Amino acid sequence: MHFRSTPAPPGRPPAPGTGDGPDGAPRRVRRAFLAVNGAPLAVGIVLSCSTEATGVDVVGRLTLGVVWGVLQLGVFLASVWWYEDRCARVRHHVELSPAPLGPAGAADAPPMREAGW
Amino acid sequence: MTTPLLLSSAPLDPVGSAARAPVITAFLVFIGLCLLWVFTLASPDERPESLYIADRSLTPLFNGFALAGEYITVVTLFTATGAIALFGYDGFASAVDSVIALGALLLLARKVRESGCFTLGGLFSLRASGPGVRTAAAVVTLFITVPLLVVQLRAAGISAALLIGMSTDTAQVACTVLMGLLVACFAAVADLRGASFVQIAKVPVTFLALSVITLLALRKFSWSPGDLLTAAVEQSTDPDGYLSRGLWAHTAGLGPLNTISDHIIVILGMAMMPHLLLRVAASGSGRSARRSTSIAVGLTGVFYLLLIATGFAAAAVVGSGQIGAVDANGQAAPILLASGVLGHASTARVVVITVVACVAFLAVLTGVTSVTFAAAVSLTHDVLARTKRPLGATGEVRALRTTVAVLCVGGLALSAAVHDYPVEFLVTFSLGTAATCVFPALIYSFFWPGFNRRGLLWSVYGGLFLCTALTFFSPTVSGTDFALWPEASFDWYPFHTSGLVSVPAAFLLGWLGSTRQPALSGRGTRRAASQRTSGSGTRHEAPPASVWRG
Repeated sequence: MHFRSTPAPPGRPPAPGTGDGPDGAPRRVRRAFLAVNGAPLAVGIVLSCSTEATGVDVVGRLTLGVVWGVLQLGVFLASVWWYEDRCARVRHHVELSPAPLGPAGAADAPPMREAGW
Repeated sequence: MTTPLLLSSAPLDPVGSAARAPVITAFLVFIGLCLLWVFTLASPDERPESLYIADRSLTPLFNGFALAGEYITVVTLFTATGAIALFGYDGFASAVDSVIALGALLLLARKVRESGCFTLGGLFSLRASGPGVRTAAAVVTLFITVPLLVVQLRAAGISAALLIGMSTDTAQVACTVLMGLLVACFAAVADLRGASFVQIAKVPVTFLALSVITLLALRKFSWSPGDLLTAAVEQSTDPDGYLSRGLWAHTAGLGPLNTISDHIIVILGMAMMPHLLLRVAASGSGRSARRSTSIAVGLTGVFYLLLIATGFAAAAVVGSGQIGAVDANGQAAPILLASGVLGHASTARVVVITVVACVAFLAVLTGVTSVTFAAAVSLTHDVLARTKRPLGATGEVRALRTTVAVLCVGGLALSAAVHDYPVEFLVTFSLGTAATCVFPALIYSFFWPGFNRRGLLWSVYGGLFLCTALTFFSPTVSGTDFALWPEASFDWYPFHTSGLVSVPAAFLLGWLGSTRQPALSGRGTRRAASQRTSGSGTRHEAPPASVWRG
């Protein structure tokens, strides 16, 4: 079973703006995002299975379970900000590169920037 | 180390007779203004695409705020706060999972938008065509949305009854029906753009209300978060176990595997709700969908941090015992907190209670509308509009409106009928269905070219059957004090949620269905053999171009 991105639908041109550069940078960004959040999530899930581990006092009344949850949220929110920033940069980089097999004149066209917020 | 089961009992009147008249007056004025605004937002446009996805003209910022608004439902607002107030760490962990769920949606957002589809039927048709696939999607959509409607309307009734100082069952049912009818009026005229405006307005109002009551609670503890947390722990039913796992009576004795199952369905289920997929698909482009989701993550993170703070503040100020006395799941916690943070004779107290009540109404209005609208779009677009006699644009819009009305009235009738029963498990059932039937199908559709019609139907229907059967035979339905039928005992499935079994099973069924050759006979076998020999056989069914229309 091979997993890969969805091919273009039959009878339709490839979906525009996939953002996958030839160097696979967007995939690396996605993998980094998954790894950064997957590890704390896995630890958090394992931790939440144990009454003793979650109940260990860390600071004052704060237990390990609560502290880990707060850290997990912090890492997640920061990584989403990083992911969005990297995806936008990768996209911009892909659009700046010359299109080798594009239609005539496409390589000379000014690069598109991501639409504003 | 479990919380004693706190059943709804004596009628409580947290608002007080002196404040009730001004609170109810202000609340009714707000409802009137809201409905007037809502009717001005109703679109005269009779094009289905305009109603369903606003012609994909929503900007990332606008859609991101609206997507964050989708997460602010009366269930999250009241049940999450109540769970944290009553069960401490268990409620907190569930809130963290709810935010992490948006990560799954973020990773799939661009692909969902670029598929060009906006209903589950369209997304399921990426790898398989035909009415059977769209019917399966409509069935799954109904299994996800109807339970949510029932629970949201019930929560609305409980909170409104509390506001008028009548927490008896009859008053709660009457309030459920009245609130439901008001919401049905909005849902019947709503379109995606109009609903988005109300969703966006709800976000700052909710943030403001939660911030104010949390800060007022903090003021009671000399602005010391440590003192507030200490008070929350001491006021809980089990101070030693409040900030560690196991206080939630529903899941306390079910072991670690049950906890893993809960994590699976909250994270995957909350990301795969049909109304969220519709919202993401309404973005202008794939990049816009990703940006909208990123914005929504930030806002939802802030919302859940405020919810967590409110939950602990409610436990500190009101106490778990009193919160549990009104509702076993603590759904009254925000209103009880709002009525407890200021002195009984102050005008500010009336204002705070009214604001929280208005937020609750907005949450019901938008939450029920979103869920109903997504279900109606799915039914209309995937089933009703694809009959042998085409409906036409006007007919499709009329069918949409009728479907919305039928769903609202049906949800309302069900909610009133099951009012006396503990139906909170319907939320986990709904999340379990989304995690089981939608997530595997979308992952296979987007990333595995070998996924075909048979695999999809096996995965969706098999997953749905497993979800329903495992929930029916779980401790939420029989065999425990908090079950639907506590006296009966057929709870042979040991976990509270089905996710641990049903999600991997749906993946397995999808793979088995796609890779197994059908049992052919006679001419079919010879034709298949001939195709294999000549190399002309296809590995999977390619969808016709029309299915990419959405």
